[in-house]
Amino acid sequence: MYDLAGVLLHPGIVLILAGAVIALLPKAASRYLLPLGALAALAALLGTDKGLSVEVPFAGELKLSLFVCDEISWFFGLVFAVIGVIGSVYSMDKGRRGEKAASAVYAGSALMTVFAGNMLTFIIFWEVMAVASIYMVFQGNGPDARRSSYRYMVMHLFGGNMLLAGVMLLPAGITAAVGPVTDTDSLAYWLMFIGIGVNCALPPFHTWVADSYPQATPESQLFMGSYTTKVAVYAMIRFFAGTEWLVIFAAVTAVLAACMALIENDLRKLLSYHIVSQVAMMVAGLAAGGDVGAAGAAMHAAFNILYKGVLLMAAGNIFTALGLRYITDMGGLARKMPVTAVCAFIASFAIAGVPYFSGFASKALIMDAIHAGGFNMSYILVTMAGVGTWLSITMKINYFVFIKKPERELPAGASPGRAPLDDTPGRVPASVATGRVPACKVLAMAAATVLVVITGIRPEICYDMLSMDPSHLFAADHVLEYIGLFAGATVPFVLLRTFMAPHQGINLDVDRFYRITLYRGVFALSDVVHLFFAKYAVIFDNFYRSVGDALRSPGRVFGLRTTDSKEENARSIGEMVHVLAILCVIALITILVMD
Amino acid sequence: MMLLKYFMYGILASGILIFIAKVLLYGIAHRDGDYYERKYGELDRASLSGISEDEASVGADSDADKDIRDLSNIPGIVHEDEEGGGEDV
Amino acid sequence: MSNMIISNLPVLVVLLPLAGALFCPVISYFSRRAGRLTVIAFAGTSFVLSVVQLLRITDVGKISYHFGGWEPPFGIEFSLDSLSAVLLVLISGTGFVSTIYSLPFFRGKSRFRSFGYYSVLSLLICGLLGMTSTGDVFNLYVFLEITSLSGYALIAMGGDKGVLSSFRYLMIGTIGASFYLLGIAFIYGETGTLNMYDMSGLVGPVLSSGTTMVAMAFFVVGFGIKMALFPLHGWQPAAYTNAHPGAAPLIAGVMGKVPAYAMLRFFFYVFNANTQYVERFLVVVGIMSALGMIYGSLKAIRQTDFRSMLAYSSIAQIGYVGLGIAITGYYGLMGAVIHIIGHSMMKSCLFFCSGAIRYRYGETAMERFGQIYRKMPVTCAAIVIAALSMVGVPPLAGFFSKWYLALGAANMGEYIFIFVLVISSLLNAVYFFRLFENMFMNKNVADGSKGIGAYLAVKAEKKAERDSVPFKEMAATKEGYKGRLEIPPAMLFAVIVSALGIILAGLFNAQLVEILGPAIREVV
Repeated sequence: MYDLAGVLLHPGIVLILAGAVIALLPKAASRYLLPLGALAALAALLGTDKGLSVEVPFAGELKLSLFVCDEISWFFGLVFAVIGVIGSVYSMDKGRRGEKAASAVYAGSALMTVFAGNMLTFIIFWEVMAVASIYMVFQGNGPDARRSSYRYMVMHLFGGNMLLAGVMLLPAGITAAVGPVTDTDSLAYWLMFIGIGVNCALPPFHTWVADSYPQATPESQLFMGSYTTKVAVYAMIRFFAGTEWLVIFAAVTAVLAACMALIENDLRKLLSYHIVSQVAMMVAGLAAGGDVGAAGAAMHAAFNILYKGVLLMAAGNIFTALGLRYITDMGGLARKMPVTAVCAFIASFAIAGVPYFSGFASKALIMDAIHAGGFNMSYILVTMAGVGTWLSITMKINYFVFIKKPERELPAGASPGRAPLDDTPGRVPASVATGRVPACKVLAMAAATVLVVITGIRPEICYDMLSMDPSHLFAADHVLEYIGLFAGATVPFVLLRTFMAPHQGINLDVDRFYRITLYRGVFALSDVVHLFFAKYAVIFDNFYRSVGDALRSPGRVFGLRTTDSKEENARSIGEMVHVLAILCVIALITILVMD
Repeated sequence: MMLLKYFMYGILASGILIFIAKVLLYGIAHRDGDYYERKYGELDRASLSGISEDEASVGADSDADKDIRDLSNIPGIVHEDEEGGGEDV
Repeated sequence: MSNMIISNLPVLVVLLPLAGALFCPVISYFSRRAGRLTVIAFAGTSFVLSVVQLLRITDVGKISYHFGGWEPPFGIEFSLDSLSAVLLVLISGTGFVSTIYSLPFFRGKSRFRSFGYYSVLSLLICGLLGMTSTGDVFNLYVFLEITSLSGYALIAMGGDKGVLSSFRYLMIGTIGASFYLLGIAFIYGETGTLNMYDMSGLVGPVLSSGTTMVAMAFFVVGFGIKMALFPLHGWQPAAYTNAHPGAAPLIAGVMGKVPAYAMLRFFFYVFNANTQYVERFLVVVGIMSALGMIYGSLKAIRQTDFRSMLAYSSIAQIGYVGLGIAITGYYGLMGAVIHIIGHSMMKSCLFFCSGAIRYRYGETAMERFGQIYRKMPVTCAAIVIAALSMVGVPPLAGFFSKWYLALGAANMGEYIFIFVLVISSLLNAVYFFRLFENMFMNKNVADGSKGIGAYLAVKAEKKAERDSVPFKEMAATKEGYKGRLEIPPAMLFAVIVSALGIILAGLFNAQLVEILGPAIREVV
């Protein structure tokens, strides 16, 4: 027997059950149910005994190992629960029951995944996360969101299946504990790597982030940006920590993704590309190996959730209140949305890694790990990625969105270069953009900003949780290094600021190579199969018809003319007998020949 | 002095990144907004999942219905309308 | 009394629907409603008894029933282990639910149509139950023919197109049954017995002879035709598409699976699957299954009619079962059996929903399913559950069969099968996604006045006028179905029960595997 109380008090189960309840109860209840559910999950998490181990029998000898905890998983779980609360408060003004239920199930599954004790549990909730997030993208704004969710679905089912296949091929198979996968040459290793790499947005599987996140609603984007990629980072820490070739790969990704963000015009897409860049930094850290690298990745993931969350919320506020999506339409918003501007400003400093902001503390660990491993090229690249962050977010967003006066005054809600938003109920029609940000959104954003500030000023709290030593963090040379870097990086930006302005259009990513071809390919294959069998069917039909004719009036075969009457056509049953008779003869001959 | 060193590094890094982004990447990747719409062409606009009316009729049903034809002139088959009714006791 | 029932359980489960089929026409002479209820009552009792039987088998292990007191191998025997018992519950359950589900389609129809359909439906249930229970090879043929003939009739009742589809199925199906019969003849010649258990003992030495090989080949072809294994599937899409909507769930969900179960019985319980001779045939079955999985999924993508899409999808899904049979080993076989159970529930759920949509809107073309979820939320929820299960999302039933099959393939080192499984489930997602798009997003809202419900209402009204009797208000009017619930309660019951079945089969998979375990372990 198993411990039912232990299962029900699992923070992930609490959230999943909350999601189920939200789906069943009327719409009005979901407004408060989601934050309540998230708070309950947080409380459950804080109240759990870290040494607990909960197992549930599953099928035959297999068990689900629902709760196994160490420092890293606890840390992830904590920040997941916190952003769950913040995200649910952020969604309080919108009434979409399905979306909220999916968000709850999604967040709950993320919690289940990080506390999973064996591969079976891990995979099950990984898949549930994928399905929930597909639905969340599907619920986005209009036909583009649907098509995007289609691509998202294919990408994530592909990844999920790769992971499943890989785990199947492990020596211990599905019952393996969640631990490092060491045999680099085996198929299992690579399949699992691809499966997790998809969720981790490693090239060439990174395109789904920028493709689908901007299509989802801002509330969903906040949830999705905080969970899928970070759970993948957790998975990387568990399975692939210390993979040396990955360091340089991730470092290059970080730089390139930051550059893609630098040229992007869609604000939420910019932030999505930047997620890819930040995640790549985390991967670089954990791949460098050692406890420092893993702790650095974990801390950076957690802090990322917070300050990236603030930025996503800010972008969402701009979208909700003003209906604006493209930076080219924005400008001077600091006056219209002062709170948002301040929060975004703080978060942008944190994300770049300015000293005394939280990003500084987490990146320090990552840089230490990379340096200690002797990966000098990667060290430089990751530093450059940090500069890229400074440029694309701290400089670009703050300047072009908040500070710079717009070229022309746009009416609220209109977004030239794109048709007006779909007016289907449930989405934010352009006409409803009130110019005012709902209170719950401001509250959520402010709360997250406070957390960002606290973790920046007092990083020791988190360092202690991960057993890291903060003593070198605020050493003078370390601080000066970054102040100097960022000051220097500002110079070209300021000098070239008109050149840096984004332009409307799209920036193609590697998915241009397979997006159309794969789509056309599958449907063409289906056509080919159909045509082939249709031809075959025609041939068979003709053969069948001529056999039928011959059987019905054998005389015709030999050229004798016979009368063509209706009764002849009706004798199709007799034809059947003929066919059977022929079959029996064939069978008898076969026996005689065989024996 | 350290400050100045890193200041120069910052300028250098920033310059390189701006070059990669705004010159190289932008040149290679930037396109008009309706790039994919044009590529998908009529397909995308005609129906939701990208299959136009014409395309949809190619593979659909035709082999299942290949020789299923109108039976109204074959004697002996009772059609829907011909049945005798009765009060539903 | 209860002792008598218990000792005759195997027979009662199979013969009660037969009794229902025989009584129905007679009773319908007096009252059509009573005739229908008779069939429902007998089917329901059969279901209850099959559950009792399952409980008994979990206690005592195997049951064997000798007809007329004649000892096998001279007499005919019903031989049941946990595998057959579970399948009997599944068949009788689905049959019972189908009889209830079909009620709204026959409201106000003529006596002939009413009892004709219900008797034949009951015969189909009887035939399927018999095929699963029997331990005698020729008896299997008899029940196979009962099943097939009832199937032909039910498909033909689906309208004009149904008649021709059924005729084509009849031709090909009879060939299949004949192959099976010839196979029996050969194996009888080799072993001298018709009893399965006996044969399993006697077949060992003759396994390598040419006659036995031919017999096995004929069995593969015969069962392959009946279960629509690629490339012997030609009859299936038209038949499933044009079958009568009330019978389609039973036909598509169950009638295609029992021959697969029979193939399993033959190759594992009668012939020893671990010998190299049988393994050759299993390799062929495996190849056919793998090709069928890809073919079915690719074709399904292109279908515009919901029922055709489901039919092609079934070709792919029966491939999963064939794959499990070909993989052998505990996991492969368990995967095949779990998939038989799970897919029956998934497909019957989908066909229940398809018939419901047709009843309400008269539509089967997916592009005209626009916004159906508003008026038919429960039905759409059931479709979503079934579709997610078919793609293989945990914790629904489909995940487990996929997983067992993958595990089995990995254990046997047959990685190509894992690859085919992955591709197939990705393709599954593609065509179900199109369905979802249409249901949830399409702007062309379906028009209720074309539904079967509306049609029946119009006819009843005209008839009342003709006979100058007051017209009794029906839930459906000529504008469409306007009852309180989204579809008549009988149909809603079927939809909900099958959707629940999918969820429960997934959640309680552990218990299910435990029950099936002993039977499967016998042969691996």
